[in-house]
Amino acid sequence: MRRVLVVSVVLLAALALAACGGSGGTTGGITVSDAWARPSPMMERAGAAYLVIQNNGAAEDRLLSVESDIAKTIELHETQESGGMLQMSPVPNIPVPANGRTELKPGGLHVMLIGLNRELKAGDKVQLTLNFEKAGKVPVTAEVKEQ
Amino acid sequence: MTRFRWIVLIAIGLVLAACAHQFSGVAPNPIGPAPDFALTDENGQPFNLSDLRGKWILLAYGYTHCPDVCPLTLSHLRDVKKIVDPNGDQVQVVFVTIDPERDTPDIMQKYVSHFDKLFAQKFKGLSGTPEEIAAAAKPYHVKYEKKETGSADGYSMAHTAEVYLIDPQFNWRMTFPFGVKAEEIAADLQTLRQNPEVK
Repeated sequence: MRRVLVVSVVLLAALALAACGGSGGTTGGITVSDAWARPSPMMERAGAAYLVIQNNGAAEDRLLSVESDIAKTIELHETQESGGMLQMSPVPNIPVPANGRTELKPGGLHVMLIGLNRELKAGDKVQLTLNFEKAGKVPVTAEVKEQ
Repeated sequence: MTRFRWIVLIAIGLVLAACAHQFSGVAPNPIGPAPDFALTDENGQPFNLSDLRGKWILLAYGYTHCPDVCPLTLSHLRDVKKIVDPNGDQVQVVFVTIDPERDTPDIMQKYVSHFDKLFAQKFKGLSGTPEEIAAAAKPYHVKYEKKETGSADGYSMAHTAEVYLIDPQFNWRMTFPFGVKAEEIAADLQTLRQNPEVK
């Protein structure tokens, strides 16, 4: 009887996790959630993916790179304003403060998917692996959607 | 007399309703004719902005090697169109490249057609020679600059990212800063449409 109870609790917990973590990945103190990519206007142009990184650890971590079979080259980019103009430039890494979060969102930080291997169509899922300095690899599924 | 009183009351009501609307865009002071320009459209045909006289124009500048800012702006304009004129031809979205080196009419055609799929009326995607683009950007105070960033995607274009609203009389009515939501642009456009005399 007790075993049934334990199994039920474990199953329920697993279900709950699965339900809320559909797109997320957690490793160490790092949790990645709300990953999405914009539908690509055309194959010849780069795509962009966005996500939220939560760091529950006591030390700063950094997103160093992103791997995926969706594109030939993946860079971390930031859009910044200077003199009234918006400019997009690659950044070497994206810091995530201790007990804090960093949001990659339109008009700010984004994962740039250069040389798409297939079209990003609304409803598709894209597997990304995020490489952190401390937490290591964190897999995440990004949904292709309009924001 | 009674009828006259009603008309006055209705007129006051309309003006008040217009005043009550908080505009998200900024109106030029004074409001005047929209600057015209001559470029090449997405079919490779000569195109003057004033060809669109008689329609509301939503005008934006950007470039197709822009995966972040420009798709955001164009998807907002698509949503404005969806709200105010989904089946009509009275609101025309126009996207002008500030990267004439890479954005040919063919590329512009592919790019804008991603955003106008829902509509019978297609978006205009304009390109031209560097001189023509400069002449089309300057009167709207559009600034842009080529930047070598070391990205595998090639150079990047720094650019202002406002949206301009032009009325059917071809007057420049509003400028919206980057990031203004589609609903806000749509509300401003609807208010101006219903109260053409409001300045």
